[in-house]
Amino acid sequence: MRAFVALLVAEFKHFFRERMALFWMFLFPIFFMLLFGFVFGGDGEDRVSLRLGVVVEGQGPATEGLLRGLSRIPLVSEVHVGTREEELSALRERKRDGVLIVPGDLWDRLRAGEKSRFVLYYDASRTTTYRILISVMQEFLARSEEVLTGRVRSLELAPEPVQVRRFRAIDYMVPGILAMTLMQLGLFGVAGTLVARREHKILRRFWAAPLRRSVFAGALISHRLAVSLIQAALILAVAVAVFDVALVGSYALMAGVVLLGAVTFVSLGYMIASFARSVEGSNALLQIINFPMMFLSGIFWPIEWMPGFLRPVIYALPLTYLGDALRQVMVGATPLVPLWIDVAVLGGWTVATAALSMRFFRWE
Amino acid sequence: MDTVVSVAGLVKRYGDVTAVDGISFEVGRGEIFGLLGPNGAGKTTTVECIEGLRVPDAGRIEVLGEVPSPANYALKSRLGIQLQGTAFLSRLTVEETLRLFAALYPRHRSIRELIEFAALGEKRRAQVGKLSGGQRQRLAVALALVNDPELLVLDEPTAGLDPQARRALWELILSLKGEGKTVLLTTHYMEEAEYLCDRVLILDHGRIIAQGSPEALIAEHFRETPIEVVLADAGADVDLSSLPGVERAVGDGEEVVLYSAAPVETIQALSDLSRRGTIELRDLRLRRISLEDVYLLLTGRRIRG
Repeated sequence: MRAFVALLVAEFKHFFRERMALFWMFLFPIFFMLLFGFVFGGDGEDRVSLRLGVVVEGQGPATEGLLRGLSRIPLVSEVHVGTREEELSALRERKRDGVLIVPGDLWDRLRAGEKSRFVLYYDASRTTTYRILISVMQEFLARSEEVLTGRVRSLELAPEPVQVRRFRAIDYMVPGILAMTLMQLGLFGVAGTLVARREHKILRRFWAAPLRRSVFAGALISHRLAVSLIQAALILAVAVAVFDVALVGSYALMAGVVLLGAVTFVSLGYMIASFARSVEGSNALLQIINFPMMFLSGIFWPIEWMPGFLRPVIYALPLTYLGDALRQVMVGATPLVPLWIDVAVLGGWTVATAALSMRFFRWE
Repeated sequence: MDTVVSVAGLVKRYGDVTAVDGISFEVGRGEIFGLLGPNGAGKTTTVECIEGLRVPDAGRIEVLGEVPSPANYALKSRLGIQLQGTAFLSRLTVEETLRLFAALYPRHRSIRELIEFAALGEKRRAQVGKLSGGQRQRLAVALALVNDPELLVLDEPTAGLDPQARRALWELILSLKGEGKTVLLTTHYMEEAEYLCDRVLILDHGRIIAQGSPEALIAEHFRETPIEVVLADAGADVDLSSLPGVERAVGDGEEVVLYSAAPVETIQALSDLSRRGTIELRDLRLRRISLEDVYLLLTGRRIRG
């Protein structure tokens, strides 16, 4: 226990004094995210052609004229008439920019000279669009009333915000970048480090001491897992602060998946270190693993975008499952496979690579 | 004499290469014992078998009454080990490194004393990666002492150091003897073995070619004085070994070592030859006999180069 604590403390000190390691482990993923976020962030977010849903609650002489009037507004590109449920769900799916409810007693109220309320539902997440929408609709109601009755101020617009869950490229990518970071922590932070320490005979000196492999490995792995949680916290903090990414999962579940991913790749890294003979050899091997995983595992773009013949490869890569699990629990993305399958596959990789590491790890 | 290390018929092969070919020796308590030989003689392999880092192909080893093996943690706790060309976590300081290793052993010496012992007081807070070669070697020896071991095994402790740094380490190692420690060290510096060791074992190609105290080895093999002669012309057709007093001539071409029982006569004869123009002397040196000569005599080669 004393040896474990001393090794763990030494790992922390060594790590936090290594500026290059800090850069690659902490700053690089954040730069990466900022770059991707700003490049893909403005993906047609606010449009100025409005798709309007109309719900007519009662028929009357004024209704038809109103609909015709709406479709003549220059900024309105589509007018759909439907039930309240249909139109509101279309709004949530971002197929409408706003839904206008035409009150059933409009005609009676107009004749009686009473006020009528037009509820306008809009997507609160799209600030530019909804401001244009509201002013356009207010203008329209005022003009219609003037035409219909010669009076003003009896038709009233009541805007109602609707929280629409947006799903943007950045929402997809943040869990992907985290998955990439966890993978690289295992590949470079464990395999790279161990092979270099073996080549510089640092491991031999530990071996010469009465130190069990399990204690040495335990301290290194514990340190890397702690680093993975710090990485995840930093990446998510920037994602929320800068890109307003909505996290839907519980922190415990997210931390659990992050740790499972870290364990999987730390174990894979240990296995690579057990087989690689030199720093050069292991660097080549690590890149051969790193690049295909990064680009084929669907962490940056959906795997449907990739040609079908790659599917078997894609479904063989552990990063595919880590990316999928993180997307599911963090931003509530549509699952590729159920979460339990992700967990089972990652667990399987961990058991297999850990067993091989224990069998083949060498101090020299 | 209390035996601390006993090696009997040790054989270690790497593939087709036999690194150690059936050597036997014993190290007594309180001795400084040197394994001496050129690179590739089998010194490191021998000490790594003693440390339990390698498993012998044949032979028996007993260290402090135990059989060393990679899993013999009890024995590892009692050994002080400095490995050849080893490194430490470069971003830890001298003190942190000592504390880390102290925590790996069941008991340890005072860290402050060790720092003082290795004369690293000023470098206590310096990162290991920023130490000079000599400082790093002194740290390695201090680390070998961290568990207050009964036996220290130092593999080439002064390799690659400048003469001053080497001197400093020699004094450090000699002071261990004062503490009653047993030291087994390897070196390919003859003068180091002569200065430090009570007894040496000379290895060549994995076999023992001589063993004993440096003084005894010299006395056993030499009554003569070596005269180093450097000739301008390697082709001079003179048999220097037939000069008066010369018992043996070793080397050929331009550099020859004449072992003479009567150095004055030999030098007179050499200067006569030179005056007559038979040979052209470029340099002539008289030396004290050293282990280097023993090695040269036994192998026909110089240990370095």
